[in-house]
Amino acid sequence: MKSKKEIVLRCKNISKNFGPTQALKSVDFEVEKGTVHGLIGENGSGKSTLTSVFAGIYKPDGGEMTFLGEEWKPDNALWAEEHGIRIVVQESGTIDSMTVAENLFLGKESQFRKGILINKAAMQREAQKALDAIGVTDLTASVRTSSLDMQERKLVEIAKAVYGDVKLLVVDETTTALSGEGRKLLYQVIRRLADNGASILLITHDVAELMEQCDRTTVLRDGELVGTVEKEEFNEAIIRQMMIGREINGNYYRNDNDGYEDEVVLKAENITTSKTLMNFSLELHKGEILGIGGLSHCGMHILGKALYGEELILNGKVTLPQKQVTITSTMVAVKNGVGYISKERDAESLSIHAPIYENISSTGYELNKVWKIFVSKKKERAYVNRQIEKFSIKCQSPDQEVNNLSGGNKQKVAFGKWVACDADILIMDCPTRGVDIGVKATMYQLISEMKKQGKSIVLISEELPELIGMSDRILILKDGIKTGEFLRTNGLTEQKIINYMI
Amino acid sequence: MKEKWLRIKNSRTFHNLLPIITFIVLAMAFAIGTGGRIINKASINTIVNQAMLLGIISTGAVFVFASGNVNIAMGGTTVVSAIVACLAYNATESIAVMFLTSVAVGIGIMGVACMASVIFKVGFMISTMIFMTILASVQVWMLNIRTVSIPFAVSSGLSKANVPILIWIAFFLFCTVIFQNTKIGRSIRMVGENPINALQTGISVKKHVIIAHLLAGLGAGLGGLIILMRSSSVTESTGAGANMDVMLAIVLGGMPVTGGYKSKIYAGLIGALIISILNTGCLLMGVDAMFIQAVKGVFFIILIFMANKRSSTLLVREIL
Repeated sequence: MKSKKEIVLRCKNISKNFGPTQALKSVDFEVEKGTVHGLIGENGSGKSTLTSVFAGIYKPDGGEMTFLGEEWKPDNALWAEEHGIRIVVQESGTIDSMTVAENLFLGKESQFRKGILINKAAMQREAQKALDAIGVTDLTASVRTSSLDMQERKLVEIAKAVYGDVKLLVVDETTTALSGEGRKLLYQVIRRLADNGASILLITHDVAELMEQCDRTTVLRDGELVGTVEKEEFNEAIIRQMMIGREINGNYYRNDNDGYEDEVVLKAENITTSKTLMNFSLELHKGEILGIGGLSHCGMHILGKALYGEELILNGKVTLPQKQVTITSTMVAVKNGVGYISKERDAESLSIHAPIYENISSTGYELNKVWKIFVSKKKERAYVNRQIEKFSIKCQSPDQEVNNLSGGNKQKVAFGKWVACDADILIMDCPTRGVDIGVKATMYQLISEMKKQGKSIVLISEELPELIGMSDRILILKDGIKTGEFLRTNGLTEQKIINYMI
Repeated sequence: MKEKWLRIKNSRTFHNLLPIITFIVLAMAFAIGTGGRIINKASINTIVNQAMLLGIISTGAVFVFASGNVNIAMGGTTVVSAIVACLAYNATESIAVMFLTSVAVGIGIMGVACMASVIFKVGFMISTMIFMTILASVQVWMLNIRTVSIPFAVSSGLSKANVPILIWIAFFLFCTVIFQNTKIGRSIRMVGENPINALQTGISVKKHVIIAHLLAGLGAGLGGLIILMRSSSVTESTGAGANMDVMLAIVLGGMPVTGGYKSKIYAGLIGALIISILNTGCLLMGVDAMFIQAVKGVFFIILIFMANKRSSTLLVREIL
């Protein structure tokens, strides 16, 4: 049954092209007042493009929009923001060198002006109020953002977005950066805003989250609107089918219990780092997928970097027993067949303003040499094209800038560069963060194939279903210490593991 | 109209062609402004000689800029290399020793500047600013206590044998091959693009920044030789303004200020031609030497605005 609420945003026949690529094809889209509206689709479906069009980032090539009953033609994003449309983006939206307060009021410092100076104390007080208003009481507005972790920065962005008079809040795949606690906070903010008459557009890949939080959901596929589903009609399988255009098997994790070999390929012996990890030990076996889980600040991300030689180890060591090598730096790790995919994809795993070609070929300089000195362009092209084909990376050409790819395709590039050089050990930190189920399924399949080839994987993840579904063994961390170890069994559930995390 | 202009401004082809267009426009403007004097044999000779010297130093400096760093001591390094090479020749009367000394001093100075930055953990910009001052003092001190020149017969002989141009061609080809076709060159650009990503890909950021500086030092050392081959002597005014001219040349030649994959090895060469034609053209038009720097500065700002997108990355990179 169609709702009769007031329409806040109406998009009619919206089209947008990027060169030969049609990102949006005559999309009709409406958001009702006082509702949480979900927007879901595979990578490249047009979700971010649609949002960018009505948020003033892009100008549409066709169609018209109204906002609050008036014609809507935003000049730019700042203008749209001033008129009530706010966005919390997926990637980092804060400036490291500024304080929390300065980030919150970036561009709006004039309200704190005292003559020619800015009253920083007043700015900080107001920022603190903004943080308290969304339930963030353990952040100080005077600290530099560079000292905050990803979740805390995201909370600052949320506080900034909801400060003042917000009519439509767009939350663009933000929950992937948040822990359970952070998500709970965000959902509370969203519901409070909706109850007060604002509208929220929640863009996510998580169907379960969508069904729980949203009042209605729109599904996009290949730049077209597939349909809008009301809450009472929500069905996970149907939504997934609308996204993909075909039936998808609900279980896309591993189905086997193949186990692993006895041979230890990577060993951490009583490692202590300057941050979090204390006397931590682990062994990774050949052909094993070792899952590492815990709450966001448990030390698992630091562990990944320590195993790879990127984080300074104060005590203990990380070794490759087969090769009798101690990993003291990333150079040593890579030279000995270890690869790493960071959680911070855009900032660390990729050079996003560089072409796909340069990103993938960066692990192959040695492999593609001729006469031991020169890097062969011909060999490199083949090296890169193999991965583009293998991963079905949607791009115009290998020379396309990575920044112009969707999130899932960027992740494929990050994967591709390590698969290309045939790394024996791969440390993956949140490898499926911010990607849709289609890409997730591809990644899981790849991880399974790598295991079958005898490769060893350290899978660091904040998603318990992923760890349970993919790992041969799971280690749980809390405050830098191992609190639990679980073997792959059919009866392993999230409930059994959670107690070791909290 | 505004949208069309923005599309042109942001297109890659425009970015790549802008330096060449700039050179052509300048050449035409000065041809008109000087009544054709800029296109006579003497002027062209002057432009080419200036461009060759500046070009060789700037081509070496491209590696430093590609790594995401800034070096403003290139001019001073070149002059001190020339002075020491000169002294070495006078002590040994050996051209080979002169050549080797100039190159060694150039590489040595850049190496020391780089290591000082690494050891004391200061930004390269700061380290090279300090060296710029030190080198200027060394130049004044050394030139105060003795005449620094080589016999005219030696310099003119080398010059007539086209040794400067041969050095220039060989160095440019060497740099191009390293830059485009070797792991070192590609890694230097990756370091400039995203040092964290480079580190996570197993590329030593420190090592490649040092190599970039050593290559720049090689360019400076060869530049010192060209000074000696062209003018036989080094005076207090030799290399005046060269530190800034190198930076200017690189940016005018199409180099992005933050380095990375969009760096171009030919930026130094094209930028050097632009600077040379600016210098010569302004002089022929009677512009006071003082104002020539101002003219160059205005040009610099216009080109930065037209050629470079804003970037959140910094000019000074932390050594990881």
